[in-house]
Order: sequence, then structure tokens, then C-alpha cells
Amino acid sequence: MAYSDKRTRILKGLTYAALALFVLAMLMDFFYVGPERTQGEAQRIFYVHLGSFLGSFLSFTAAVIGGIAYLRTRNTKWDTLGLSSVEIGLGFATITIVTGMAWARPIWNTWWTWDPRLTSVTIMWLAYAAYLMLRTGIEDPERRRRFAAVYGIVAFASVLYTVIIIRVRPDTIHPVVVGPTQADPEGAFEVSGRIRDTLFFNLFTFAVITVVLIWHRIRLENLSEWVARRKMEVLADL
Amino acid sequence: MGKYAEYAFLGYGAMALILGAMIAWLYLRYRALQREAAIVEQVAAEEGGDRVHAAVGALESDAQPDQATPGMTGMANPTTDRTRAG
Repeated sequence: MAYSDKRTRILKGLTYAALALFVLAMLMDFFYVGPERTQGEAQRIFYVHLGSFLGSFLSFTAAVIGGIAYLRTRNTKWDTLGLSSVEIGLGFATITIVTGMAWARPIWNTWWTWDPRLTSVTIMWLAYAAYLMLRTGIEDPERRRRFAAVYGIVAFASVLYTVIIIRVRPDTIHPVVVGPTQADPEGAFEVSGRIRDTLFFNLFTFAVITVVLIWHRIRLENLSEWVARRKMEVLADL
Repeated sequence: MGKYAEYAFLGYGAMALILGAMIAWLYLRYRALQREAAIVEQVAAEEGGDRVHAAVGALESDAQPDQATPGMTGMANPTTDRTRAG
């Protein structure tokens, strides 16, 4: 496996940048911004909750791009992008759900409720977990890649549904940070001043971390395919 | 510690755990694949060496002792072979 030095240097630089940004974001979350008046320290969870959701959103968007590009070109590199993005996106979606539960316990007085937003994010998580499981069940590589591309595009409907639902359903209690809502959420707060600065810094940090993790995952997949191919060559020679 | 600090720590701890697990999985899988790649290359190199020996062996068995040039081509040398056999 050989990559250009320039690309490897960029990846290395981005990795260190992501690490530095993460440390800075944590410092901002705990020291730059103070606790919220009514929600106290629990409100701090909101920075990583939203940041990780952005990470999953970007990842699943990349899976859609990979899917469309694969169906158009049949180039396997797009399938690798799709697979890598879904895996990383699923990890971020897990962080979103778990951090949301930690916030909901003191604010809503429950770890979990079947609110429309929580239900939709669960459907989204299950849809992408199914992507990984179904993918491994198809043996023919070409069929597997085609299926994954189509599924990756269709599953994105669950992401859009999750984003839109709190803006259109009046019966949700999930707060809306950006844009209008018809609901009367519980646990909403004003996003201004230091809260806004910290939020945007966390969003930027999670976006960089997402790109870095997807890039590393793509390289891992390429290495895995190369090893499998080389093994077949060596076995054929024996 | 302020109000609901334990939940903030719980949330951040869970985030660090999941993110850490994702990074650790990537790193461990990368290390395992690198080891696997090294083993495959080692087997390929050994197999390549065996093929060279087999090719030389085949040449030796095909060669006519009286036509061979001992010490020059690496072909069988009846004299030395006899010596070795003895």
C-alpha cells in the first residue's frame, strides 16, 4: 500500500489539529462558558450532543455522496467512502443518543421517552446499524456494493426526518436550537454570548474530527482489501 | 460542583468512552492488518525463494552431465556430485 507523501502529511496534520481542537473544545466547555441558570452543569452536555449529531449528519451525507458516485462510476473507492462514513456516523449517533440521555435525566426527569425526536433518532440509528449487518450478508462483491449504495441513499431519509421533525411536530418536547418550531419544548435556553461561541467551536471541532476519522477508516479499508488481495495471490502461487 | 454536575460528567465520560473506543478500534485493526501484511509478504518471499530453488533443481535434473560446464553455469557437476554422494 502506498500513498502520496503530500496526502499522508495532510492527514497527519489534520489528526494533530483535531486532537488540539478537541482539547481546546473541552477547555471551553468546562472553563470558558459557565453553567446555565436553570439547567446548571447538565447544559454543558449540549455542546457535545449537538457536535456529535453534526458528526453523524456529515458522515451520513458522505455516505449518500459515496452511494451516488458509486452508482454513476462503479468505482470501488466510492463504496469504501460509503462504508467508512456509515461506521463513523453510527459511532457519532451513539454519542448523540447517550449524551442526550444523560441530559434528559435531570431536565426531563427521565432517561428516555418516546418523544418524536427520540423515536426518529432511534430509527436513524437502527437504519444504519442494519446497513452494516445487511452488507456483511451479501457475498457477491458487486451486488453488495450496489445494495450498499442504494441503501445508503435511502437511509438518509431517516436523517432528514430527524432534523425536520422537531420543527414540524407540535407534540415534541425536544428543544430547537436553530430555526423556528411549532412545539413548546422543555429544557430550551437562549443561545447567545459565550454559549454561542462555545457551541460553534464544538461544531467546528466535531466536523474536523469526523473528516479525520473517516479518512483514517478509508485507509484502513484500503489496507484490509490490499491484504486480502495479496493473500489470494500468494495462495494461488502455492 | 454545581447543580447536576454528575450528569455533565456522565455525558462527557460516555462521549470520551465511545470516541476512545472508535479510535482504539481503528488503531488496533490497523496494527493487526500491518502484522498480517508482513506475514503475507514473508510467505511470498519464502515461496519465491523455494521457486528459485525448484527451478535450479529442474535445470540440474534436465542437464546432460557431459554437456554441462562445471563451475560456470551452476549446473550439476558429476565429479562434485559423486564426491558429495560419497
